[in-house]
Formats: sequence, C-alpha cells, structure tokens
Amino acid sequence: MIELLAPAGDLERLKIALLYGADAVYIGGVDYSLRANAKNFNLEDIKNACIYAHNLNKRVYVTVNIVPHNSDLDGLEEYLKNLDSVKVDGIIVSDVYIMKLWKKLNLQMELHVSTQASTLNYHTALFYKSLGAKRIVLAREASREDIKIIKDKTKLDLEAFIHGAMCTSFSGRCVMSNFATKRDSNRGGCSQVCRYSFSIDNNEDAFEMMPKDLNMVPYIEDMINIGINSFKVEGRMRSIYYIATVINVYRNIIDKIVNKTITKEYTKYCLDILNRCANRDSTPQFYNDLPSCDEQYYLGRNEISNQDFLALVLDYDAEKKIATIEERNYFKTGDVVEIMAFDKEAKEFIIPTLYDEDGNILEVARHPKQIIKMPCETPLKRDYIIRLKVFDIHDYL
Amino acid sequence: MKNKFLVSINKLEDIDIYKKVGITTFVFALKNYSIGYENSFSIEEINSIDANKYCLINRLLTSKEIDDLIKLLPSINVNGFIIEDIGLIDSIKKLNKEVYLFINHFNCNYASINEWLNYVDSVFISNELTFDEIKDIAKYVKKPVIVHVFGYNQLMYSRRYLLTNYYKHYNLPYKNSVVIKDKAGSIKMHLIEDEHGTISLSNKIFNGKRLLNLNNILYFYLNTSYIPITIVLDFLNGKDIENSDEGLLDIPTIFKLGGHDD
Repeated sequence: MIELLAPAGDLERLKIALLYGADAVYIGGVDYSLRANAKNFNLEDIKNACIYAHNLNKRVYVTVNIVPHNSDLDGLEEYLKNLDSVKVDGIIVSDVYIMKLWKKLNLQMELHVSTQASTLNYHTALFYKSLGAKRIVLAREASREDIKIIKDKTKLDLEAFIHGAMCTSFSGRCVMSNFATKRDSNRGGCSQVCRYSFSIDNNEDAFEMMPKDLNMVPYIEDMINIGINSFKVEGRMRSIYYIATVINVYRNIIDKIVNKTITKEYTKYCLDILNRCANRDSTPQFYNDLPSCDEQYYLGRNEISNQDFLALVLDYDAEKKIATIEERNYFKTGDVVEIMAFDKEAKEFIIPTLYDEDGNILEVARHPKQIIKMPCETPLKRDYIIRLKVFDIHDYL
Repeated sequence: MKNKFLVSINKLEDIDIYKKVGITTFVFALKNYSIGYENSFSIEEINSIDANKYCLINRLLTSKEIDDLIKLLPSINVNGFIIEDIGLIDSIKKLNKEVYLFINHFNCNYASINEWLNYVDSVFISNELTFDEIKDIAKYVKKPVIVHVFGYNQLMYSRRYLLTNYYKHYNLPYKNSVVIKDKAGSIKMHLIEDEHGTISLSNKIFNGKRLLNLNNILYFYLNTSYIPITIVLDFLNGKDIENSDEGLLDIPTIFKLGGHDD
C-alpha cells in the first residue's frame, strides 16, 4: 500500500487535498491536537470529513497527539468513542494512556503512533505494536537504515514525513516554548522559539538554529522500495494553494514511479515547483546523513513571499464557455499563466478579457476574493487553480 | 530524608563528599548513551563505585545502537537503569534490574504514569508542570514516583549539530557550549553540543525545594550537571541558591490563544 497523506486544517483544505491527489488526510479535533491555532474540526466537521472522504474511497486520520496534563484527561474517553462512531479511520497518538484507552474501548479505528513519540528503533516499534498500533509515524530523525531495519523487524505500516517544516528538536522533546513564552509546545501551543534570532555569548553575532524544510522528492522511489507505506506532508495551517501544489506534485511523482515513467528532468521540474511554493529552501535532512550547515537557515535566508496564486476556479459554463473565478493576487489580460488541474498536468493559459459580475470589463484583477468572469475555450473545473507561470515543463525535457 | 535524594554525579571524587552529608544513591550517565550531562562514565567506572547507583541512558537510540547497548547491559553493575527510550524496557526487565522511566516532557499526568508503572518500577515526573499538577500526580499514582527538585531544566534535545553547523557556516572557531539570548533579552539559555547532538538548558537553576514535602515520592532528583558541588551542597543544606527560580511551578502554560478562531 502506498498512501499520500495530506494535512487539512479545515474542511476546505481537506477537500482540496483529496481533490488534488491525497489518498488520506490527517486533521485535528478542536481538542487534543497539536495545532491549537489551526481552525480544526468539531465532531460534526469530522463526521462530514469522513463522509466526504469515504465517498471518494479515501481515509481520514485524527491527531490526538497532545501530551495531556491531569486536566486534559476528562472527556478523552468520550472523545475517542465519538471519533470511532463517526467512522474515523485512525487516530494518531503519542501518549500511552490514550493508547491504552483506545485498546480498552475496543475501538474500530486504527491506532497510529505519532512522530511525537520519536520512534527510531525496532524495539520501541515492537512495544507499540504490542499495544495494538497498526502504524508508526517515524521520528523525523530516522535515517534510511533505521527505517529499513524497523520495517524488516516489525512489518508494521510505516509513515514518514516527506515534505514541510521541521522541528529543530526531536519532536516532543522540546519545551523551549513553555519556558520562554509560557505556551505549551506539547499541547499545541508551540511558539517556535527555535525560529527566533539570538545573540551568542554576549556578542552581536546572530545565532540561529532553524532547519530548512524537508523535501524528499529525490528519495520517494527509494522510500517506496524500503517499505514506507504512507508519505506524509506537513502543514495543517498551510493555504489551499500550498496544499494543492504540494499534493499535486507528489501525486504525480508517486504515480510516475509506480508507472515507471519518472524521469530526472521531471523530478527537477517538481523540485522547482515545490521550492517556489514553500517560499523556503527544502532538503532531505536526515535520510542519508545528519544535517550539516547546508540544512540549516542562517541570517540572510531567502524567504520571499510570492503572489503566484492568482485565482480559484469556481464554475465553468460549458455551453457559454465562460469561467467564473475568484481572484487572489494581481493579474491582467494578456498575462501568461498556468492552469493547475487536479486531473491533468498544468497547462499554459493566456488571460483573456476579464469581466466583473456586472459585465464590466476589468483592466486588471486587483481585488482579492473578487468574482471575475472570463471567456475560456478550454473547459475548466471547479477548484482548478490559476497560478503565475514561473517554470515551463518543456524547458526541462 | 537524605536517603530520598537521587544525585547525578559529575566527578567520581564528588561521591565521597556527598556520602559525608548523607547522600546514598547516585546517578551515572553512561558514556555514549547519554546526552546533556556534564560528564558521562564508562562501565568500568560505574562498576567501581560502591553505593546505590543507577545508570542513566537518556538518548533516543537507533536499532543498531540499542542492539549494541543490550549486549552491554548485563555487564553494568547497578541497582537499575534510568531510561528515555522505551525500547529498552524489556531487555532491562529480563536482567531483574529496576527500570525508572524518564521520558523528558512526556510524563505530565497521573493516568499516563500509571500506565507506564505497569511496565517499569518508577517514573520521573516531567519538569514543566505546576506544583499543583505535580502534587496531584504524586497523589494519584499507584507507585512512588521521582520528581526533579534541583538543576538546570533541559529544554530541548536535538539530533542536530547546532553549534558545529553554526561555526562552520560563519567560519568561526568552534565552541561546544554557549549562552544564547533573544534580541529582546527575555529569553536566555545554554546550548551544549556533543557527538550525539545538542541540548538546551534553562538559564536559571530550578530550585524545587517546595516539592520536598510531597508524599509518594521514591526519589527527589538532583541533576547537578554544570553546577559546582558547593551550590549543590547549599541546596542539600537548605540554603538559598543564587541564580535559581521555581521554573513553572506557579506558571501554568497555555496552549490555546483566547479570541482566535483560526
């Protein structure tokens, strides 16, 4: 089984993730999840998410991965029962009490061990297997060799992060946020102190300890070969544009690997798309070696916000050949852009004459969220994305 | 009371000094398998000590490392082991040694600790809890537990070489131990690196003397790393400690920001 697993901070992101190729999504409930500032899902939302995903034959996992304090224990049992009753496919857990509770309640949903548990060896994985775990989300520090041994010795489903932000610390083994800002990192309040800039030893030199993002594009095929089952993208608080782009890229890569049509040129194109989308550099981090200074960020980093996301397609009138789109960033008639589709490769497109909802011609689209109509011979679908054309795949072939 | 203290050792010659003030039980960080301690010790050094002693293994281990370590465990002559990686529990139990679980930052409630107590002999309570939370844990756990009362709080454990990478990037002379401060000056901490990664420690010594009155405590733990023995003795003698605070004993951490719905 090869699964592309996407983050989803709310129902809109969930739908985009599934549409653009994720086989499963992971979401957080309003409580007990590690991204307290994501919008997150109440039980009704989770139920709807499961119905939506299951209709597409896809899966929903819910993070229950806080490290609970005494006051967090009340309500946990009922919460787990509720998740099970709305047909959540699995819960992602780091705490032993929640694992045992899952077992005691004899719930149908799967138990997945969170990356917060920092599983690096097969003895630890076997311990969790004895508690009923179906899947281990590996420590981000796990190397290729570590992963291979754990797979060989445990036969567990293994999930690994392939893209997105990294912690400086072992996940869960950091309370800098607690002490520096009084926000509990292991209950979803991490204030990302590791991304601050510091002085070092009382001089003015700036010290930083933040890692670059993770990007496993060059190693996906190898990861499939050594037994990774689920390929996880980080970022429940990311935008729909980010989610659509990243999931779309990895979907295409995985499919091309499976179909044996992947090429180095296509991989390079994908890397450029991903690096542009994230605004930050990304590297493979721990897979083949320990991170060096090249995997860290220091002052002067290139983190430029881009305005590539131009518009979202809301509707297409096939009879009149008119597309209705929602503006996100500035563009104008004559711009050469790209249509990013969830069911085919991105395609170049020249912005035609634009009209507002009253039929007035627009010189430019400059108001985010403005509804715009435009003639379009190429049939579009709802949730296609119009983006700035930065890379041309033909240049790579 | 002094026999309830569990004291980490920085130098072997300190043991006799501690014994003179009534301390009977010591912790030795195991060389190559521990991180964040001022000193670590070989098996031969640990075996040479005549006292109640526990071997600390607080690194997260790869499969190769843990397999290598399991072969060494029978040769370590101690009362028990203090471990971070739960992959070691079974192997240590087979040796009929005590196991104390010290998963940094993870033992934050009595229910989870009670589950772990089905597998191990005792558990270290996490060091970022309030006094009331710790008190309740001690009250509701089914076996006596271990609580930090003294030492720098470990704030972060990274597998990355944060100092090596920094000095290499800027082509500056390497230091393995530094103090960093944020620009506003409100956050200050120590960073210490060795061949296994980097840890950060609080700027102030945690002084948890208030916790000494708790019941159902197996040991009160003193992590003496990077602290002169004279200051440790001052704590043991009930004296005031400079550059110390009570950590988060009176400061509940929050995890949701009021008013935000996104």
